[in-house]
Amino acid sequence: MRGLNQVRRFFRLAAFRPDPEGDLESELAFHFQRTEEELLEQGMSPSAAREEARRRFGDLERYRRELSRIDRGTVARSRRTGVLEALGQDLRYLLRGMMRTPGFTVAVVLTLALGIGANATMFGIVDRLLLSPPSGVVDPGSVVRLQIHRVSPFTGQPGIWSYLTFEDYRDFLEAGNLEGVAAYGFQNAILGRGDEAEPVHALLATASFARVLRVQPVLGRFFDESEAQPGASRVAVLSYGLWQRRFGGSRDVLGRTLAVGDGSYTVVGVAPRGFNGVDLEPVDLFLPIHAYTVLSGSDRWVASRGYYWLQSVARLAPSASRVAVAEEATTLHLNGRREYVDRGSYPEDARVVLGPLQAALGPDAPGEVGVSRWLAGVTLIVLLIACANVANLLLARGARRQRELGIRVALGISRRRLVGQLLSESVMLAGLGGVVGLAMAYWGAGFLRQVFLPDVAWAESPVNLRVLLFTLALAVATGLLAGVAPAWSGTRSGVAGSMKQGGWGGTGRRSRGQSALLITQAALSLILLVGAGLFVRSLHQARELEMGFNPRGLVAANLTLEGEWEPAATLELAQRAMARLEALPGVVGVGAANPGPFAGMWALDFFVPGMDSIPAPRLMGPFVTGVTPGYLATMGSRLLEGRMFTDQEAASGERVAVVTRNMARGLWPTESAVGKCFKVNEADGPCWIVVGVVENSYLSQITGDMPWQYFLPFGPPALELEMDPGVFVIRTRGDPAALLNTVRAELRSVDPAVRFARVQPLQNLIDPQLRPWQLGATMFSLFGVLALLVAMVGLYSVLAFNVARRTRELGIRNAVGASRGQLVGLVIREAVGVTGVGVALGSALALAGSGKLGPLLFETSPRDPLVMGGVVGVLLLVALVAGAVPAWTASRVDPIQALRAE
Amino acid sequence: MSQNALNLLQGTLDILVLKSLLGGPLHGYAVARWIRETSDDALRIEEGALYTALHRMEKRKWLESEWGLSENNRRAKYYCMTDRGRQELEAGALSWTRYAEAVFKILGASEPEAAS
Repeated sequence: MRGLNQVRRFFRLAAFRPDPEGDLESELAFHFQRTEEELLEQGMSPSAAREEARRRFGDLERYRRELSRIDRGTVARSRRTGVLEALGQDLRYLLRGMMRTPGFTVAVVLTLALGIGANATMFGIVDRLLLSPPSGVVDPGSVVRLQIHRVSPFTGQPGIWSYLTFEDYRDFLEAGNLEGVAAYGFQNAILGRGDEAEPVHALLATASFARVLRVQPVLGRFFDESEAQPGASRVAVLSYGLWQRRFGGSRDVLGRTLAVGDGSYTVVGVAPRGFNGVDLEPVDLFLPIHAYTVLSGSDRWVASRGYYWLQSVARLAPSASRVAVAEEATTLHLNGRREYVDRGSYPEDARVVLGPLQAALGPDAPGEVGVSRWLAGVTLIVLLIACANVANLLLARGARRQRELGIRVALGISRRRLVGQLLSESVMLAGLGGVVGLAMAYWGAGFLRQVFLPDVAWAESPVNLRVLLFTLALAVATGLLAGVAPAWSGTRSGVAGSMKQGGWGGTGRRSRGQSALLITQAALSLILLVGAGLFVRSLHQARELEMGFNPRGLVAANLTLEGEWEPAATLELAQRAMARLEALPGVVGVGAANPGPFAGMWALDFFVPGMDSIPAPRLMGPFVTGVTPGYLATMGSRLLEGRMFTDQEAASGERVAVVTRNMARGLWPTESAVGKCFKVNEADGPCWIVVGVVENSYLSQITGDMPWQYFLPFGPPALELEMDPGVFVIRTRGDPAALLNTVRAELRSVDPAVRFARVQPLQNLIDPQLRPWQLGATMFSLFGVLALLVAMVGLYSVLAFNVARRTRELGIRNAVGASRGQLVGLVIREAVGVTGVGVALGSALALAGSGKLGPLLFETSPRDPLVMGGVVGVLLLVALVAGAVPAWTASRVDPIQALRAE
Repeated sequence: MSQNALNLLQGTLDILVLKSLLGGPLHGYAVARWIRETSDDALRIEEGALYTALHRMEKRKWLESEWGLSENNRRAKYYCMTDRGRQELEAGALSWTRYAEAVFKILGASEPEAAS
C-alpha cells in the first residue's frame, strides 16, 4: 500500500477514481463485523449477535440510502475542487519537468519565441496598415473614399481629384445618399521663423472634413464653413503630436498665432491623439482648403480641372446604396467634364468608385503595404516551421519518456488527463515563447517602423492590446499545434509495449511522422528562401538601375523664401547662391533646376511645326525642366549628340533646348534632332532650337518607361514661362553627408529672405521608392535564414536521434562487413532524401505562387532560375551538413559495444 | 428499546461525535462504542444516525476521512477533525452548556406564586 502511494505521489497521480458506494459498503461491513465480534466475546450466540448488531444500528436500508445521498454530494463537491487541484498539480509537475531539462526547455521556448515574435511584430504592422480603421474616426464603417477609375492610357492615381471636379457633384451628392462629402490634400510648409522654423506636413481640407469623419477635437474646434471660404480669416487646427511637441500640451494655445509659410494662422483647436486624417502618413497641421492658395503661391487650383491634388471621402447615409452613390457620382463627374469627353481627351468610361477607407486596402497602396502583407504570410510560415521543429523535439523526447508514460498509465491516470498534461506542457512552453516573443516584437517592430516604414504615423507602443490578444491566441494555438501529435503518439502505445521496448520506443510509424515534419520544414524553408532571393535580386536591380544620371555624391537643396519673389529675382538669388556653393571645398559642380529631380513633373502645351499631333503616350510627357547651363553636367547626364547650353546663351535669352533620347527618337525618328524647332504654350510662338540630345532619365518614379523630357536654360524666355530655379544640385567629392551642414549654412546666409534650407543627399529622394524591396529583401532574408537554421537543427536532431536508436542495427551491419562508406551513405541518403522531397514540394509550391509575387518585384522574374537553383543548392548543402555528424557517428559504431548496450 | 431515550437534536449529535474525535482519528465503530460507553448507554443513539452525522460532517469539511488499518489489521475508514470541525465543536459545546445551565436554573428554582 504505502509503496504504491509513494509511487503515486512520485508520479503526481490523482487518487484512484472515487467509488463512494464501495467505500460505504466496506465501512458498514467493518462496523457490523466489529460489533458482532464484541457481542460474541460477551457470550452471545452468532445469530443473536447478528440480530443485536442490526438492532443497534437502526433501519439499515433507510440509513444506507441517506448515507449514499450524502456521499454523492461529497463526491460532487470534491470533484469541483479536485479539477483545480489537479490543474495546480499538473502545473507544478510541468514546471519541475521543464527545470529538469533546461536545455530542452530553452531550445523549445526560443524556437517558438522566434516564430511567435515574428508574427506579433508583423501583426502590429499589418494591423495598422490594413486592419485598423483610421484613428479618431467615429463609425468608420460608413465612410468611403470616392475614387476615379480611368482605363489606360488615361491611367494615373485613381484617388486624386481636382477641386472643380469635386465641386461638380458635392451639393448633389450631399442632398441625397450621402451625409457629407469632403475633399482634402497635403502640402509641406515651414512652421515658424528663424531658428524655430521646422518643416511640417499640413492637411488642407474642406470644412466638411471633420463632420464627415465625426472626429472630436480634444481642445477647441475644427474650422467651420465660413472659415473655409477664399479670403476668410486664417485658422489652423494642431495635431495632437505638434501640440505636445511644440506647445508642451498647453491649453492656452487656442488663439495663438502661427506663422506657416508666408501666412499667419490663428489656432482654433487641437485634433485628438492619433488623428492623422484617413491616410497613413503623419499630419502636423490641419488647415482650411483655401490656405492652399497662400501655401502654393497660386490660385490656379481653384478654377482648373487639370490640377490634381485632392482626395475625397464621404459618409454614406444609413439607407444609401453603394451602387447608386457610385453611379450618381459617375454621372456628375462625366457631366462636369463633358467638354473634354467630347473632345476625346477624357475617357468616356471613367468611373467613380467607392474605395475602402483604409488607403492600404485600395489600389493606391504604397509598395510597402503589399510587401508587409506578404511578410505577414511569411511569418506564419516561420511559425509553422518552428511548430514542426518543436513537435519533432517533443516526439523525440516522448519516445525517451515512453516508459515513464507507460507506468503512469498503469498507475491509473486516465489517458485523457495524460494527453491534457502533455498538451498543457506544450501550451505552457508556447506561452513562455509568447512572452519572449512579445519582447522581440517590441524591439523588432520599433526597428521595422523606423527603418522601413518611417512615413507612417504609428501609435507610440508597438505592443497594444490587439497585439497582446493576438499573441496570446497565437501562443495557445501554437502550443496545441506543436503538442497534439506528440501527445497523441506518446500515449498511444499500451503499457506492455512500452515496457517491453525498454525505452527505445522507435517504430516505423513514428519515423514516418517525423519525416513528414522534416519534409514540410524543407519545403517551407525553400519557399522563404526563394522569396528572399527574389527580393534581394529586385533590390540589386533597383540599385543598379541606370537612372540616366549619377546620384552618387549628389546633394539636393531647396530654399523657402520670405515674401513674394519674381522669377527674375529668384534667378538672381540662385546665381549668388551657386557662386558661393561652387567656392566650397569638396564641391565639384553646382546646378539648379525646376522641377528638381524626383520633385514633380511639369508639362506645357507642346507643338512641333509640321506635325499635327505629338506621338507621345499621354502621361509620358513631354515634360519641361528649366535648368542652369551647368545642371546637366552636374547631374552626370550623358550627352549623346550636339552640345549642352552655354552661359552666354542663357544670359542673352536665346531659345535653345536639350532633349532626351526617347523624345528625339520619338519626334524625329529618321533624322538628327539637333537643329530642329519646337514651340511651347502657343502653336505660333517662337521656335526653340534643339542643340543637344542627352540620355533618358527618370523624373519621379523609377518604374515604368523613361518619360520624354526637354530642358530649357534659365534666361529671359524661360522666366516668361514662369520658370525659375527651384532645386540646387551639388556634386561633391566623396561622401555627400559630410558637406550637408556646410551647404545648409552657406545657403541660409545667402540672403536674409531665406527662411529655411532643406539639404539632403539626392539618394534620399530616391530611397523611399526602393523601400519595398529593401523591406522585402531584409525581412525575407532574415526569416529565410531563420527558417533554414531551425530546419537544419531539426534535421540534425532527428538524424542524430535515429542513429542513436539504430545503434544495434548499425553495429550488426558493421559486423557483417558493411564498410564505413556504406554506413555514412545510409545516413546521408536519409538526410538528402527527406530534404529532396521537401525541396521538390517547395519548388512546386513556389512556382505555383510565383505569379502573385511578380508585381512586387523589380525587373526580376518570380521564376528566376538563378534564385531557384541557388536555393535548391543551399538546401541540399544544408542537408549534407546536418547529416555529417550523425553519419560520422554511425560509421564509428563499435559492433561489440552496440550489442552489449541493450 | 425501540425508541431513542432522548430525541436528540441533530446539532447535539454532531457535538458528541466531534467530541469523540478530539483525541485523534477514530473509525465509525469506535465512535459509536465510545459514545455508548461514556454515556452508560443512556442516550441509546441509533448507530445509523451516528454514521449519518459522520458523513454529513465530512461533506461539510468538518471532518476528513482516510482509509487505514484497524487495530486488528483490517481496512477501516478513519475520521479526523479539521480545524473547521474544532471551531464548530467549541461553538456548539458553549451554546449547549449555556442551554443546559438555563434549563438547570429553571428546574432548581422555586415555583412562582400563583396569582389568584
